[in-house]
Amino acid sequence: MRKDKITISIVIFFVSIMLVSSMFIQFRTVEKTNSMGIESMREDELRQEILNWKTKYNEVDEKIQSNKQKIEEYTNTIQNNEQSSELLDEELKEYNMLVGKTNVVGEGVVLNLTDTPEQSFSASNLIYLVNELKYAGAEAISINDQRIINSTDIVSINNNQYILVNGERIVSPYEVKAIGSKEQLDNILNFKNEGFVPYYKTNGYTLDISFQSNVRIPAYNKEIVLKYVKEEG
Amino acid sequence: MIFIAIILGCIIGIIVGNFAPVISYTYSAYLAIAIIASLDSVFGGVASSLNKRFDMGVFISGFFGNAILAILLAYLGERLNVDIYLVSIFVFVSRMFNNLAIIRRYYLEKFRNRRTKEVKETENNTK
Repeated sequence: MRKDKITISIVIFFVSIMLVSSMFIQFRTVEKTNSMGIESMREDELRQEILNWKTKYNEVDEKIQSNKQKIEEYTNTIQNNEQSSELLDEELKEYNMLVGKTNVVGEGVVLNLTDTPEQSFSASNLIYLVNELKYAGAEAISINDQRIINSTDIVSINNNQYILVNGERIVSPYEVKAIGSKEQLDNILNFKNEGFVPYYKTNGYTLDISFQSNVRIPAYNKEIVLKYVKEEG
Repeated sequence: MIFIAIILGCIIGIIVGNFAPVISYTYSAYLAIAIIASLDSVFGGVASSLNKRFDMGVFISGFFGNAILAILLAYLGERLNVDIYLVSIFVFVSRMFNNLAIIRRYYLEKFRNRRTKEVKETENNTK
């Protein structure tokens, strides 16, 4: 009887250890998971939460779709703008070329006029030459790398001592370049007796003329400013 | 002697439980059912010992067997998508209440018997 009681006591001792320790482990587990949010939620709470998230997701998805559409529209307009700006760019390039703000290259003529003690070129000679070149259809003209544009002046000062082109002093030898049809330039400049080259040669001026297929003419290197001119209307 | 063993076991159990690592949440449901089953066995043991029908083998086998069976059933229920653990909790808790009722009645009876004895004794004394 006594022995029986001892074994019962020992067994109950171990049993109570197991029961109480497992209970406390469970208490701590529950306590810990309670504060962890989603893991400790009940099923219906989780369902509710999922529903909330679903609606939120749908809303965000819709927003994304509309934003995507907007982006597409914007890219379309951007493309249109790019196209128009490309067009404008080309136009601008063309106008720059026309005005003389770009370096240009093409077939044409190069004239070298050299002053000699007997005969020297004057500003009016150069004006005459430029005029002849223009008449011959030259699209770009330069004298000693000074581009001849709409507003270019060719003047002489101090009794023909200096020649100014675009306000810059130039001296002999004068290298006059022009881009245009070789044949037409040849026809006009070498016109028998009356053309620029034969006429000046017979009058004792020193000049030579050469036709080239790759004449380079630099850009006008100053600002073109219009102060007084305004568009009408 | 048995009471000392129970109290000592409880104290050591508290200490062990506080220092043991926390189990993961998915398994804590099984542990809870095992605890319920064990508690049922304990109350059953107490009730049977009050009726002088306590059997060590029955108690120990019930203690562990019920716990393991409850865990297995809960696992099976999860596998089958049926909440069997609810039923096992229902059964264990209702049996716990039964056993508690037996214990309560036993002590109530004892208390009443003592009262009547005392009354009788006082009556005898006054006579």
